[in-house]
Parts: sequence; C-alpha cells; structure tokens
Amino acid sequence: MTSSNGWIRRKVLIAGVLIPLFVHSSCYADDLRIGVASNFRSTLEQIATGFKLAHNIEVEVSAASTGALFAQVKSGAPFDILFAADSIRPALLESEGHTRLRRTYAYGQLVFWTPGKPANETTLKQYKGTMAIANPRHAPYGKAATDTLELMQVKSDRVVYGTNIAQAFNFVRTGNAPAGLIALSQIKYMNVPAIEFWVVPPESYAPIEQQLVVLKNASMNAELFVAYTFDPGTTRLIEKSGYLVSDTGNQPGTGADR
Amino acid sequence: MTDSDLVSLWLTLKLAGATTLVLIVLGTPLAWWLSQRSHSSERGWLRNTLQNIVEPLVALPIVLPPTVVGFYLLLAFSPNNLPGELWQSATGTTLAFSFYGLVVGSAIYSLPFYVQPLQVAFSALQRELIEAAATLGASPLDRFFSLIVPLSRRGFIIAICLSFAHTVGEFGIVLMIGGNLPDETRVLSIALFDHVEALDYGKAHVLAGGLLGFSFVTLFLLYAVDRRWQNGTRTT
Repeated sequence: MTSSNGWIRRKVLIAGVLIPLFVHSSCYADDLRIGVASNFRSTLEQIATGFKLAHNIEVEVSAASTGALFAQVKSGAPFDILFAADSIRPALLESEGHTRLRRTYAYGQLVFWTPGKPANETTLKQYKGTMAIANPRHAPYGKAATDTLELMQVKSDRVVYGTNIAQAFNFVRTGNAPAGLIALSQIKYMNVPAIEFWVVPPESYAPIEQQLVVLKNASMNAELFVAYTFDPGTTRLIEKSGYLVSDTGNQPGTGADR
Repeated sequence: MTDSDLVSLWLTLKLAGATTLVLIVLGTPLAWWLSQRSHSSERGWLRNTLQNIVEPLVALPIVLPPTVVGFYLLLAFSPNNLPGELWQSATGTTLAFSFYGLVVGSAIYSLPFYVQPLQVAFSALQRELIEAAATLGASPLDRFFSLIVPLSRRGFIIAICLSFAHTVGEFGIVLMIGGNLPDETRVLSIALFDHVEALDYGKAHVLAGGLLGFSFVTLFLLYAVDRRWQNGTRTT
C-alpha cells in the first residue's frame, strides 16, 4: 500500500525537477526589453515594429499589470523601459532611485460599452445590470470607472472587477457582463461599432496619466526608443489608438492623488 | 488581518469545503469505477476502452494551466452560450462572478487530487474479501460503507485533504471567472494578489505566510498519518 503515498511524492519530485527549467535568459545585450501595462500593449507593439524598421534594434515586449511590473522592477527584472498605466508607480520608482527618465506618454480615455445595444450618457445613467470595470484598488482605469459611476449616480446592481482593464474588457466581450467601463484603446483595437460605446467625458474622472520610465541600468538605446515614441508620427499613432497625447481637455494629473 | 481578509478566509474555507463535498459525492463513484478493471476480454473491452479515455481526462487539470480551464469556463458560463443560457434561465443569475461558478471550476480543477489517491486505494483492496462479504449476503451499499470505506480510509483521507488544500490554493481559475467580489468570489489567493498589486506588502505577508503555514501543516500531517498507517498500525 505505498502507491498513494508515492503518488504525492512523485508530484513533489516532478515540481522540483521542472521548475528550474523555466528559469532562463534569452536576450542579447543590444535588444530592448520593455514592460508595458496591458492597455497599451498593442499600441506599443506597433511602435516597436516601426522602431525596429527605423533603427534595426529588436524590442522584447512583456505585458502585465502596472503593479506586477513595478514589483518585478523592484526585484531586479532587467527591463530597459516601463510603460505604466499610471503616474504614481513611475513616480515611486523615480523617488527610490530606480530610474533615469520619467515622462507622460499618453492619457487614457474611459468608455462605456454595451455590446449589441446603443450606449450613451442616458443608458449609462439608467444602467442597472452587471458592470465590469478594472479593479479600482490598483488599476487606474478602475479608479476612473468608480469616479464615473459615482458622479453619474449609476445604480448598477453588481460591479465586477477585472484584474486589469484587459480582463474587464473580456468579461464584457464574452457576454458574462452585459456592460463595462473600459478603455477606448481596446474599443479601437477591436473595431467596436460606434453605436455600442460612449466616450465618457474626461472631466468625469481623475486623469489616467500614463507615464514611462527609463530604468537606471537601461541600454543606451532606451533613450532612442523614448525619442521615437515622442516623434510626431508615433504621437499620431498613439492618438489613433484611443489616447490623448497632450493634456488638452484633461487636467494634468499630479500623480499624488492616492 | 483586516475584516475584508477575514471575509476572504471564511469564503475560502466555504469554497474548499463545498468543493470537497461535491468531489466526495461525484468523485468517489468515479474513482471506484476507474479502479475496477475488467479481466475478461469479451465483456470488458468497452469498459476498459472507456476507462482508458476517462483516466487521462481526470488527470488533465494536473498538467493544464488553470488559464485553459478558466478560459473555457468563461465561455461556457456566458449567457451567449448554451450552458450559461440554461443556468441563467433556471436561476436568473450568471455562473461567472458567483460562488457556484467557483465551485464548478474548483471541482474540475481539484478532481484528479481527489480521484487519483482514492482510485489507487480502491485498486489495492483485496477482491476476495469483498466477494466473501457478498456471498455472506451483504448488499452492495452495505459492502461499500462497512467494508470498502473503512479499508480505504487512508485513500479517503489523502483524497479529502489534498482536494481541500488544493482548492484553498487555487488562483488562476478564480482570477479568470470570479470578478473579485467580496463575500462571493474574493478568496484568499485573490485577496493576496490584490494586496501585492496595490503594493500593500504588509497585508500581503500576513496572507502569504498564513497560506504557506497552512499548506505545510496540511502536508506534514498528511505524511505523518500516511507513515503511521503504513507501519502496520492500521487498527487504532
């Protein structure tokens, strides 16, 4: 009767053998490693493609939540640049001496999305069902969403949280939540019909100021990438992707509101 | 521990308990069926083929990333698709973002941790003993509860402890289908993730350390019980 005990032991053994296999490194010194908040990922991938054509430098993009990226950088993840979804954590990294440059690259825009139904200010104010938003405790779009729900006095009976704005989007897209307050960039990326979404006026929420930081030990190519990001051609691409680039129509954030 | 973490703790225990109950009810007959290989080639062919297919199916959650299960569940739970539609017309709610949805997900995810140890225990039973009880007139249910269950109690304890502990340790599926609702789907692993994301390492340490301690103690006790029974002291 040793086999059920052996079964547990085998699992533990397997884990011990396999885990070290996943610890690897694969990047050349000249390549750039960029960590990006999930909402900006597709836009950054397009920028990276253009950058590679212009400068022949490979860019490796890792998407995660800003909080996860922040924790990774603090524990020594070898990123060159971080494109965060907020300005708080970039400022924190700067104050702790992890960075050599910090700059706002975009302002996120919040939209109300109801697939298959028209969306506008009235339908938002009268909405009563399940609403998907990003987690307001750590996702900037989530904070903007709760600001909006409060200001518009929406009486949604159940507000469900996605870990990040991408998950909130998926809750709506799969039909599990009939509506969501999500990012305009996602709507643009998925070519959602104009009737189904309504861009929430930026005055309704604290600005979603998205900042990038170049990390202290980054490759010299990092500044080249940042310059490319603020190139007028790239700026137009960022705007087309659903962001505001300058602070027009939006109060510049202080980054100190939390 | 904050109040909201206590709510998460209670929810986690409730989820692990409910999942284990579901597995006891559904997993026990499954483990029994899987343990009964037929030896006559004539009638046993179909049964053995079915078992050959079901056995790896049961083991799938061990190797599958929870995200695979979570993704399919998210689609299945959607009112746009049949299972979600049926649930919604029956209950008026959605399975996603609900405690019941988590029980479904956890039961699938912990299934091999319940079935496999039990299947091993059932296979090791002496057939002659059970056949003798049958000849003495014990009904199948009687044989199961007065003979098979006591003889396989080691398997039951391992199966129950592992599926309970594994459900406490579940994260990926809950993250994908839960929606992070306090009182409903924010279990401890999710609350911990939230604390880390919000850079609240103090609260994160409490939960992470607690879960680590719980898991170690569970496995420690499990091994201890297992050793004791193995050393021949099967009657207490």
